[in-house]
Amino acid sequence: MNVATLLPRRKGAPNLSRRTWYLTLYAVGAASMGTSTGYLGIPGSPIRVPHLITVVLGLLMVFVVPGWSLVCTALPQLETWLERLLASVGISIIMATCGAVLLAATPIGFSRQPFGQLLGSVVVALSVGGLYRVELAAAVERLRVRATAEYRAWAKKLATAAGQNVPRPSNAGKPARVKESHARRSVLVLRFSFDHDHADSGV
Amino acid sequence: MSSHGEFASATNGHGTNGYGTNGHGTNGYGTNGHGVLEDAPAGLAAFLKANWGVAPRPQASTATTLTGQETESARFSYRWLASIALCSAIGLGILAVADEASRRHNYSVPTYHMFWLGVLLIFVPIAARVLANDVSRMERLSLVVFLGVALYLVKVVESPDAFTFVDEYIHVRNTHAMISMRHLFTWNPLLATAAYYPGLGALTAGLTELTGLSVFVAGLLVIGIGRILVCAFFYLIFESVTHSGRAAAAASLIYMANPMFLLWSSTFTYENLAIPLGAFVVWWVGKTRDRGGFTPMAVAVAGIIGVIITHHIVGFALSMLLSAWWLAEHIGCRATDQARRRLGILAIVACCATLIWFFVVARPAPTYLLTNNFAPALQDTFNVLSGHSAPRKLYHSTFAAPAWEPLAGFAAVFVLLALLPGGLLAARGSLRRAPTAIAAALAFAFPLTLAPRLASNGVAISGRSSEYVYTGLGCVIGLLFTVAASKWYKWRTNLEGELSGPRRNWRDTAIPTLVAVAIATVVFVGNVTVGTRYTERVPEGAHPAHYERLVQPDVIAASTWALQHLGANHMFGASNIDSWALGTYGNQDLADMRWLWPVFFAESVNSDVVKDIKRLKLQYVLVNWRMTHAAPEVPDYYLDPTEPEAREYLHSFPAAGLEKFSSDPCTNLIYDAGPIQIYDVSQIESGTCT
Repeated sequence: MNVATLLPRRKGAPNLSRRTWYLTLYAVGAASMGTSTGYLGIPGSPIRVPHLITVVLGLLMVFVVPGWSLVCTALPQLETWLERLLASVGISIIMATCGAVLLAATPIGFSRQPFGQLLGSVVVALSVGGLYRVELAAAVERLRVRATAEYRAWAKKLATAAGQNVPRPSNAGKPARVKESHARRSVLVLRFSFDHDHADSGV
Repeated sequence: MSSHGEFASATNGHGTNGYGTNGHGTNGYGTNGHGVLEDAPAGLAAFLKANWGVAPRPQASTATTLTGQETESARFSYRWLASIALCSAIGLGILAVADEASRRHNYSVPTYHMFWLGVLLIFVPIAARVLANDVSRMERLSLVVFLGVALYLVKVVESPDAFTFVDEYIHVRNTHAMISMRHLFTWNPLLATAAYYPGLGALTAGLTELTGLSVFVAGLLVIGIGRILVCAFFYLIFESVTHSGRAAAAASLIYMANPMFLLWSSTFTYENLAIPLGAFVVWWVGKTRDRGGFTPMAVAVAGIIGVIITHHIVGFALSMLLSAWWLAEHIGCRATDQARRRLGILAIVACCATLIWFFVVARPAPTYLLTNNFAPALQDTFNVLSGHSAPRKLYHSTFAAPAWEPLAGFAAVFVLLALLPGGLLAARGSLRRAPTAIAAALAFAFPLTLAPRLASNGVAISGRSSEYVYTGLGCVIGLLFTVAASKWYKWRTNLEGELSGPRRNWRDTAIPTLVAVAIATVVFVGNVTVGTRYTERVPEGAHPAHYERLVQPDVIAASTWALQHLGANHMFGASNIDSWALGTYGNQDLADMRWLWPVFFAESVNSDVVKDIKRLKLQYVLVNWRMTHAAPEVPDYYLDPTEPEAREYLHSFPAAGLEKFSSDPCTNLIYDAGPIQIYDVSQIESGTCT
């Protein structure tokens, strides 16, 4: 899957570790906590977050979490934790910088509320994408396998019932070359993927 | 892709062992036809294979005890790390004591010697450890980052409660404008161009808004994180260029020894955010260009845009680097078609976006950069080289530095120049690899960047170019280090056979490391003397008796008063140093110094002064009487470089120039606090008083 298409990858989906899961969920939590401090524009919000927590969440939202969400969701090829961390910080800074400049260039203007909402929504979107990728892709895959198996069983049963005494049609008239090209084409189809990452190369 | 050619560094095809111990041609860098990667330990080899799509040949026989590379058995040594952290902490403590003594005018404390002791306590132990033989990759990387952070803290300790370097005020003003005005391109009287590169201001403003921290703390965090990134990414890039952790460590040390790194690269300026982002883009492109997918390209493009909206020079440097990389791979044919195509697309994007932003969006930038900086520097350099003008006096100051400092500066340059040919020779076998070719080209440019230093207008360009040139210089010197270490081990092993004991092994391992540490230290010390003036290494004392070189608290108080009582964006005239405070803390507009200096230097408010005041639309004048007390420590200028005797001051500012404001009937004194006064000259400007 990639973020642009949001299509689940059937094979080769990253085997995200439990820790990554927690961090992705944490990102959503951080964004939620961030919104409770006033990003949603609720001046008299009953939830009062201590300043220290605001500082920590703000630092994470600017320097780590957006990049980490992107890395976990869409860049599984980063293998070591060090690369993931460094890439996360680099991507987070780029996202925060470009986001702030983008906001300031629009009529909305730059301020705490839209900036927090922008970063928070990006994190939430990426986290949801990650969840979709792992959970829904697995569910869809399970469903697909089950449906395929049931369809095959049903088709076999139907064929058996309908043509019990009919001789099986011969395809000897079809030239061998055609069959070969079909086989090749099927290989190509199997090796296709949206992000050019072949299905058998996944983690 | 040929796995041999890809890693060939210096080939002879004989397959002899670099150290003469196994005879299978597995390790001698520059001796066996396959290069240093043959020696790479399992971790590095796996890393290179995974990330750069290349795989070293497996080692053909047992590993030797002494190699030019890190050994496979190296482990992360927490004991070493703790010792080094302790040394660095002591060094920073010594620096903090020296800085505080300087602020308090405590002349009984030897601040000068303490500065060097503190800095060397930080640099030397880390250099000794990262250049050692048996250090793991992670430990090297950690130590390199640790060194970068420790050297960053030198600047933080020097200015612990506010930004004090002049260029920092520009970006503080940008950040304040972003927070208060909420939109881009707000007029910045300190440097108009800076407003058109809002990346640093936007990021700092965002952090300030989300965390509630002050602009100062947020700025320190932004630049500190940038320092971590620049050290880590440059180390990873150097590692992939040299294919050796030890060479990458040497390259990182040389890079950190550039004249700007200690103080200038730690300041809150846009270049110091753009360089880490540029390093990230280079690392990222090198890592992902062989792989398909939309997201890596999108991240690379976003990174390029992030660099371009943050700093002009880094944007151009990144564009040229990507273009040169693509060209080198196009000529060398060492990359896959997909990788080359992706690189070409990114180079085109970078070039187009940089040029569009520079010429279309950032309208004052071409004048600032080309007309005001590059052209005079090149012209002056040409005049000096052609003999039409005399070269600048190096290390010239009212307060002359100790005699050894010029020697150290020249020694650093000569050491680098002496190592450069050897480094280029060490890299010649790998020149078909694009990264090595680019590194060699950058290193080759090093002597050329020294020439503008002889011209008075070329110092800034020469100094700033070192932040780019030293990357390539570090790589080739790192390669030279591994080659020399390998040859040394080979020689020692041939001399004494394989029966050398651990004590002898330790000696044989330590000698090249110590030599390299000594060289790196000479370069570091010499370049600190080159890049930072003798008087600027410790902070200026409070309430100086002469014209200050840093903004003083009483000027900040006057600027704050002006903002509170007069409002923002009034046209002020003040000396160069004081104008930084007025522009930042006072949020005032500043008169053009080219027309303001005659107003200050005139002995009476004559018709020319009135004409200039009207032309400048000058409303208020901030007068700093310290200018008249003694000559400035650094013979720069009071208002503008075009004023008489600029950069040659040996006496104080003429008192009559300031007295005219108090004696003229058309001016009103509205603020008076010790040596700082503010006069209202708006009646002259409006013509209501003649």
